[in-house]
Amino acid sequence: MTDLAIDLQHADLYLDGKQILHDITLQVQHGECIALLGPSGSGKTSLLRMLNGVIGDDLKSAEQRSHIGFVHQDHSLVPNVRVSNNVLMGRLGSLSFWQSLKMQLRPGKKELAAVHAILERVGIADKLFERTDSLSGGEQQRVALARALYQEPQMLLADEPVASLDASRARKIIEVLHATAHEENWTFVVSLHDEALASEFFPRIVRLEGGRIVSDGAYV
Amino acid sequence: MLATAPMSNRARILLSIAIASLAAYLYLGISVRELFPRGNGIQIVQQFAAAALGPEANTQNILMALLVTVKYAVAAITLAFALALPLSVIASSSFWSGCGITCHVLRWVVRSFIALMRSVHELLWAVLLLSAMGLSPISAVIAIAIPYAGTLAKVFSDIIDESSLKAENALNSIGASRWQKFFFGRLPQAIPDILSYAFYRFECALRSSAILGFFGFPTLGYYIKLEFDNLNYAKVWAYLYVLLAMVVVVEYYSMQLRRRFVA
Repeated sequence: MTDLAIDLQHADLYLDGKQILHDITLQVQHGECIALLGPSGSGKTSLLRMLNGVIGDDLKSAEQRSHIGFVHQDHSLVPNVRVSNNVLMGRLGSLSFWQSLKMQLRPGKKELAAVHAILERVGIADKLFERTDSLSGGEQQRVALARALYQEPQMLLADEPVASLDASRARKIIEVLHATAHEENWTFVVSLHDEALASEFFPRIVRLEGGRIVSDGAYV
Repeated sequence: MLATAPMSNRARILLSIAIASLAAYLYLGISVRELFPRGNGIQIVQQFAAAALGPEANTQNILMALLVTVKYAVAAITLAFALALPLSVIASSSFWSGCGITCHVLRWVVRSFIALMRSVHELLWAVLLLSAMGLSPISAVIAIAIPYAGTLAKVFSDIIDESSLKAENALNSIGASRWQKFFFGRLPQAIPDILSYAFYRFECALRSSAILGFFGFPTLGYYIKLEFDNLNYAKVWAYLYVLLAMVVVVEYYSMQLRRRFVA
């Protein structure tokens, strides 16, 4: 019996008439953690977005996407609301509009405690009620990670999630994400530019170049 | 030989504006000589300027006029804001993204309604409402609120549409609905600029409220006109100074508030 979270067979991706990804074949087991490596413009972000189901031939419904966490490279937070509000937005996909309105305006103690616990894991628990745009770039990136963790997805996709962090902080964050994915049995696909970090945490590394997978396996 | 660089679109537009301005002045026959008063106009200007140094204040009238001016402006801007916010949401293209033709028809109906509201000046609304409702405070408030709601709704909808898409895209990737993306991803980003513009419009509403006095409403404009007609320039200056002070004070406080919201 196959237990695949991702099963791409010879997939191509065209955006605005231009071919971005060529003949992508990628199979990832449920609960498996893999890293994508490759130079800028190699197609890592496009592949992640295709896996997210927002571009490509296999578009996913909002309900399907509510089970997929996505950490964007530029964190993509709402700048002028509290950190707690941004983290709580992780679960919008699983709530009705009125439930989400209530949660944004008057979050319950239980929800705030859960958000606080996640912020503690990423090292910014003291920023719970601060305005998001008053935080540094690195702190905002950790808020974006916390939003994805709060979502409790079945699959977590992260596009250069530690690009704006220093080396030691980046290592710590990847450690937290990797451990959480392992504990919760999430499928975890992350694009990284730091080869040392990728080789330390991920037994399987997929390399992309020019929109093609050029290698798939253990770090060499 | 080097080719001459073609005129850019921007340069063409600026040149067209300059030509149109010049043509307007020539057509109206405006000359620099007309800037200077003639006949007893010089005397009036001299008397009016001299009175500026010795304003005569009737404190009770001034305070009453000031209070009424502020009350009309506050009531009008509150009503305008309450009307403008929902209209601006419906008029924004981002609210309807991914929706069918019916939604876009509704949007254009609302946009046309907004254009109608703001295309008629508050003084003309005042004339219309005075005939219909008489000299009651409600006619002054509505006269200001209608065009202000139109202007606020137009600017608010532009602010909403120009907000960053990033947060909305991030919420899209985790399965948020269209309404969730709009109300939690886009609208909160627009709120500081919306409030900032509303505060600025409050300053404008104060001036409009004062000017409505020329139609008989008991605001600062009423007393300015009254004293002007009676040639009491010293008293006119007292009201003008109060108007100026009021605008400066409100501008100072609204700037503080805007800073707090936008920063």
